[in-house]
Amino acid sequence: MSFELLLFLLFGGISAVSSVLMITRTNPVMSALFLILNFAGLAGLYLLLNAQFIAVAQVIVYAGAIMVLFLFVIMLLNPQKEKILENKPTLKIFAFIIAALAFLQIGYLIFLSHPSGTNAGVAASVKAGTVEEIGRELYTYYVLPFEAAGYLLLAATIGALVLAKKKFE
Amino acid sequence: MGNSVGQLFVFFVMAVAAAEAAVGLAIIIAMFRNKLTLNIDEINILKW
Repeated sequence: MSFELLLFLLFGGISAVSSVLMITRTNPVMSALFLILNFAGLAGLYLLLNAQFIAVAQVIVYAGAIMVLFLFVIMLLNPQKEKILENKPTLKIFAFIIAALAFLQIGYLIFLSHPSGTNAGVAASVKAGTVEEIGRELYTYYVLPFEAAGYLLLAATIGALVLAKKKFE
Repeated sequence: MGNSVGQLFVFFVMAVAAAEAAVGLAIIIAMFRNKLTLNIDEINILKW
C-alpha cells in the first residue's frame, strides 16, 4: 500500500465520516463544526490531486469565510426551541429511493464506465496546479470573468447588507 | 491536457457559491425577523 493511497483513505474517511456526523447532529453548532472538518478533508483530497491553489482556496473561502458566516447566523438566531423534524415513513421511503438511485449512478461511474481522457503525466499536472500557473492563466485569458466575479461578490455583499438591515428609511 | 483551466473554473464556482451563501443567510435573517421562527413548515407566506 503506497503512502498516497494511505493519505487518500485518511482524507476520504475524514470527509465521509464527518459529512454523516454533520447531518445526524441535532445541535446546529456541532453540525457546522463537522462541516468545517469535512472541508478540511476535501482540502487534503485536493492536495492529493496536485491542486495546491484550490486546496488553499478551499480552506480560506469555505472553512474560513463561509463557515464564520454560518456560525454567526446560527449563534445570532440561536434556534434552540425549534422542533426536530418528525419521522414521516413516506419521506423515508422517498429518501431511500433517491439515495439508492444516486448510489447506483456513482457505482456505475466508478466500476462500469470507460474513462476516455488522456493522462497528462504527473509533472504537467503539478505545474498546472501551482499558484503562478493559475494566476498567469487568470490574468491573461480570464480577466473579464475575473472582474465579473468581483462585481458579483460586491453585489452579493450589498444585497446581503440590505436584506439583513433592520428597517428601511 | 495538463492545463489549469479546470482549476480556474473551480475558483469561479467558489466565488459564486460564496456570494450565494451570503445572500441566503441574509434571507434567513430577514425571514427570522418577520416570523420569529426558522421552522420551514411555518414559513409559508409564498404559498397562495
